Amino acid sequence: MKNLAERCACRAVAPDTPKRDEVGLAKAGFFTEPKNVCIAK
Amino acid sequence: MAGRWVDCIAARGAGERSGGHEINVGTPGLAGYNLPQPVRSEPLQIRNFIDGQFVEPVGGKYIDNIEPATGKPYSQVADSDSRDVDLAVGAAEAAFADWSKKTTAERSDILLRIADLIERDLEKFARAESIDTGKPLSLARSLDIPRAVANFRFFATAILHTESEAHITDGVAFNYTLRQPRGIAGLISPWNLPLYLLSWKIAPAIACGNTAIAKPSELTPMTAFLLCEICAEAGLPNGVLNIVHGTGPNVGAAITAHPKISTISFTGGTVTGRKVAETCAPMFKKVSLELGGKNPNIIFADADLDAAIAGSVRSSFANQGQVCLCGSRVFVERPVYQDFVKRFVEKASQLKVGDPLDEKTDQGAIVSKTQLDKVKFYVDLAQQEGGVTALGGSAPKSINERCQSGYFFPPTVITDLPVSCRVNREEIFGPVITITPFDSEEEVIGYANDTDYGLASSVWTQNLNRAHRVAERIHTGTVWVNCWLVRDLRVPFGGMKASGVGREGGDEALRFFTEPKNVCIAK
Repeated sequence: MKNLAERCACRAVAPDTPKRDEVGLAKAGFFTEPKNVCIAK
Repeated sequence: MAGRWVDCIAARGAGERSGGHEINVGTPGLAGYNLPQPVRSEPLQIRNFIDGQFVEPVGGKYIDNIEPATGKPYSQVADSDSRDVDLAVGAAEAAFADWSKKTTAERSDILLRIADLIERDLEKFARAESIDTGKPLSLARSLDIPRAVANFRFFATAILHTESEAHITDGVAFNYTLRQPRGIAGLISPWNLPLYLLSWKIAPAIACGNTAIAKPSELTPMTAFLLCEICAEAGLPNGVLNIVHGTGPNVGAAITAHPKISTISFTGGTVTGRKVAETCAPMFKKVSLELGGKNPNIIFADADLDAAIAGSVRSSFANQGQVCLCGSRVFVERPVYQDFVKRFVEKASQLKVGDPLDEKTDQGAIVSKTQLDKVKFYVDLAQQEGGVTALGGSAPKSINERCQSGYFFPPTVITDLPVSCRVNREEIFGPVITITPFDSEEEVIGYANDTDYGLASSVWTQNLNRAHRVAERIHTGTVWVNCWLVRDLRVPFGGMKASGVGREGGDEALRFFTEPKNVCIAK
């Protein structure tokens, strides 16, 4: 029943897991540049 | 989100249909092309469309609309100003309350009807687009108008399948996100793909519940004019879409500066895009800018050379090179450089420059005298910068009697230029490309990124690892691997650096034309 902020301590075990805020920002797209790669079949 | 649409420039087209609209009033010599004949003695006047009515511009002024293939006026377009934009804003503001409250199903139905009616009149639209822009009729028929139909269908169905977010804050609250229409959208589109790009903005804007004021290029207003008739027939409520014709300084500037137009979507040149951004920034408007490009087209020695050459001829010269996505800088790995140049020139030389209304024409007219002069300027500059003209380079002999004063220029290939020269750095937007050899992957990535622009690129290779590697490192919004102009309307479309800000297409467009609002409810 720990809240999300407390569970973020699990980053120590799984360092590649992004924090919730990082997920949110990436989803918003502001700090990333979308690039569409289209590969012909 | 349903639907996958692929633009296919090479395809030739649909069957003939009768026209029926007097779009060629004042144009002599078209009878042989089975076009509708003039029904009035005076030139057709393209008026504004405000609150569901065709209206004269307040100032009463018109400018000639030139047919690029003949160099002669064939209609007149309203030369509007800020007073006309004010009227359009009034209509759009009044229409917003009802339109934004319609169900998505109701809005979807109307957009689908618009798509069906454009498709019904495909041949009329295609001929109008060809006459207005100088592009081959076959291209307008196979690319421009079908894509406009697809744009309306795509967003009509997209809004039926949207979803939004919910965030549960542990033991405290429940959040959900509303995405609501923003109000009045200002939509400004260019002359190279008139209905294609105008509908790419109109469809998502009004599908999301906004009302819109659109300004097509004053060089190519005809299909926007025809679209208004279609919208009325489809039952689009008055004031939802308003079209104000005129120049950028008079109408475009008035739209971008108007305090009641909160959203601006602009496609056009980078210089104008900068002015749009300067106007909108202090007003905190939401802005999407789709601007120019100087796109690299990279051919590695391991590429399927037949496919690379065919694809590169298309990406170089489609629509007379007047597509922002055209690959104007071709880089070829040195082991196949000589062979590529020879075969590329052979294939490009087979493109038939001719009357756009001739079914056999591959290359039509340049859109305007000003644009033709710009193309000639850069071809001359290429000579001064040490380039070698491998193909083209000067205006063709007279196409036919009808087109003797038209704005034609043949496919032109320049070699032996340094990567850093002006011709390799500045956007020409015409049928002129350069070909440059390279020796390594690292080197060509440097060449590709050594530009102010970052719109699109093509990579031709059979090495999958290399394709992924290069795609990751090229600074462009789209990377095509072993293809060009394959367009899935769901993907983000737009540019980096001086090629623009923001993305269009799919969810990107739906998010752009809506305002997210978080509703937080305590537990």
